[in-house]
Amino acid sequence: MPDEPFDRAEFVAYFRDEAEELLHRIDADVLRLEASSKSGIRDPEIVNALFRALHTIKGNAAMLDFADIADLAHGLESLCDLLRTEQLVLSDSCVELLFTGKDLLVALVASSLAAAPPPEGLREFLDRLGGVAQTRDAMETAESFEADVARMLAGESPAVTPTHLPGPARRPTVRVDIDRLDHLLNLVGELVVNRTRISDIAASLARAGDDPAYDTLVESAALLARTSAEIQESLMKVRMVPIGRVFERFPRIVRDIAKARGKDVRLHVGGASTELDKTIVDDIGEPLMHLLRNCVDHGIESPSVREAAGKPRTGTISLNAYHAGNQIVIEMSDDGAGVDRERVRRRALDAGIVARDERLSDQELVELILRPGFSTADAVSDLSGRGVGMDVVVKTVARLKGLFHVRSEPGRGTYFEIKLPLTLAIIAALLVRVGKELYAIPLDAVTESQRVETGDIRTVRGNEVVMLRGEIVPLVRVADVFGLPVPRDPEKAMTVIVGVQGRHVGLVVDAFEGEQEIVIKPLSDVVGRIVGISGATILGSGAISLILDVHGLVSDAYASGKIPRAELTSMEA
Amino acid sequence: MGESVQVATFHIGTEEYGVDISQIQEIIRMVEITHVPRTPDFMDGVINLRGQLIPIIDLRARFGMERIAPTKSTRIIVTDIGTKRVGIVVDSASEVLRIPIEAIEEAPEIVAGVGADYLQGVGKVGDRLIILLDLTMVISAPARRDLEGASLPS
Repeated sequence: MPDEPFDRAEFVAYFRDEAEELLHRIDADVLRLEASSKSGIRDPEIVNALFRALHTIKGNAAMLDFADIADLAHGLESLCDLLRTEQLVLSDSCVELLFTGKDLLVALVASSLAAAPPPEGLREFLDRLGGVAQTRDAMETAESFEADVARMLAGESPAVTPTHLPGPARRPTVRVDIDRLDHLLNLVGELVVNRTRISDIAASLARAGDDPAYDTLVESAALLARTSAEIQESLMKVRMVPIGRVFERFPRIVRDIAKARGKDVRLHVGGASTELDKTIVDDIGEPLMHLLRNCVDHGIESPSVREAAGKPRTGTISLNAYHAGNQIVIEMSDDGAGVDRERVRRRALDAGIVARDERLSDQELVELILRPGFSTADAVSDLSGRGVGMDVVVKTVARLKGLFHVRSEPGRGTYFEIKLPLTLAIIAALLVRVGKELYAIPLDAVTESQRVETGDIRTVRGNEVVMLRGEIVPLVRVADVFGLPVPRDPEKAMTVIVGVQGRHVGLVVDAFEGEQEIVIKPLSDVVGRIVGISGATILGSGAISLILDVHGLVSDAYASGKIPRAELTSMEA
Repeated sequence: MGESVQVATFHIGTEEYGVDISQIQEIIRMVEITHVPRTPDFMDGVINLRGQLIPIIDLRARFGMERIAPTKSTRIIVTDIGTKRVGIVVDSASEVLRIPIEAIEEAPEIVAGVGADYLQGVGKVGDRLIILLDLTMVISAPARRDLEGASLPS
């Protein structure tokens, strides 16, 4: 090994990131390999891709003196080489060997980075690999390998392989710490806020005087506005990553669970290139995994049951993602048995989630599976059915300001839908005034805003409502909910109609103050979590506007079964 | 000369308090505070300090004392308590003092109006008594308890 000094810590971090990425890809490639061997259609590019990935891991590991990793990667690489050169026929045991090897590699990378002892069974596995590869010493000479390492240390990229394998061209990329991006985004936020202010000043100057310089100023301000909007948009795009990163590991998980349960399941993945904010991608993986496990465990029936029901033996789970407006929609559906209503009702009764005489609609019955502490699993399995999972999904999605739906048809399957905002950092908002306070209402929740004459306000069981195109819309007076000492306008109520999950509420405010893009800042946790407030933003004037949590306000209003006017009036007294 | 602590002192009513200077970020004049609903009474709201949102606690209210309208001498002491930045409203800020450790006595059981929870001790400087505050307690355990019980205005 050359003894040039290099920043080991930085290299290790790089190695970890790259290995993680490559291992995901290896998983997918082995699955494809398995599928192609079953169908009899051979695609040499899959083995080549595997070979390349393992070779890269080997090179990097050797450079960092992770000898075990290099050995294992080398062993697996040799196996791939035998497959590639057709000295070995792809068999089930061969696929199994690759899967086991990849799992060991994952564990080994983790243990090596933590300076922990290597995972159990490593030596035995290497021996097994050695036995397979004995037919030929498939490794390239030590010399060329050392040469690769030397090149890499010199900052050049390693030769992909000694022989020239065709591979997709790689565009140059950089890895950036997400904190740096967040900082940039904060700065851009300030820029956006000030651009609005400058535009306002320029416009009012131009109105007031006829100096041609003012017109130039207006033009400049417009240019500034456009440029900063572009910076903002580009920066948001930098933070966007394809959701496929999360989907990548799912085929393997489905395969393993299905195998363990004796089921035949095919996972169909679509929309993997759909992009969304990195922070959301990081958080949505776990909930999706829970859903997927539930689909395999509880949704898809065993092959014989499926056959008896006149369905194909192989069950299908479809996972799809697409953009719809400012949101990303993630759909997951299975063609399994659907939610067993009777069993759900029994379980819910046992768990004390519903009362014996409670009347529930069909949809409400299905939604019981989302309640905390609910589980239909007869036997607790290691994969799902511990009574955790579904409510975790609901909570995570709510935290990400998303919506979660479930539909299920007996015998036909279950359908889950998650709708998430593309980003959480900057939103368009409607500013409203209540008393002397300014509040921002996220525009995506706003259906319409209008002036309601006091005469049009009716009461239903003491709760204020208005009729909106035949629909009864409850009114929520923001001043009352927040305990602000604001006198009521006897003639009219400025009302913002907001909708969440198909339910509408009219938020009564004093005035509309226009639309604006705002940068969401969380309130300090010293303030704590407040129902009805999701954060704050700093306006162009430097004033602070609190952001209304429409989701919280609406469910708060509905949860109590009424809009709490009666209570609030007594509170005012 | 033995060990000593450096404290910034301020007044609430007739009493003089001290806070370890290492916890103090800056001291600013009173500014417009944006009220945050559904928070405990002592939580005044948030301010915009050069683009950063800082929660503001009124120390009088926190101690269960009567609030007074801000005057010219009212100050916000911006403190760093652990990882949290919090502003506390005081009647007036006075000076930075060095108090020898041996001049600090354990707080008596009851010090007018202030729960013993908040106190680190009482420093004697000449004939002045400086009550040394534990800011962590001002925002932590008891504060959290109050917060949880105060989801609705009453």
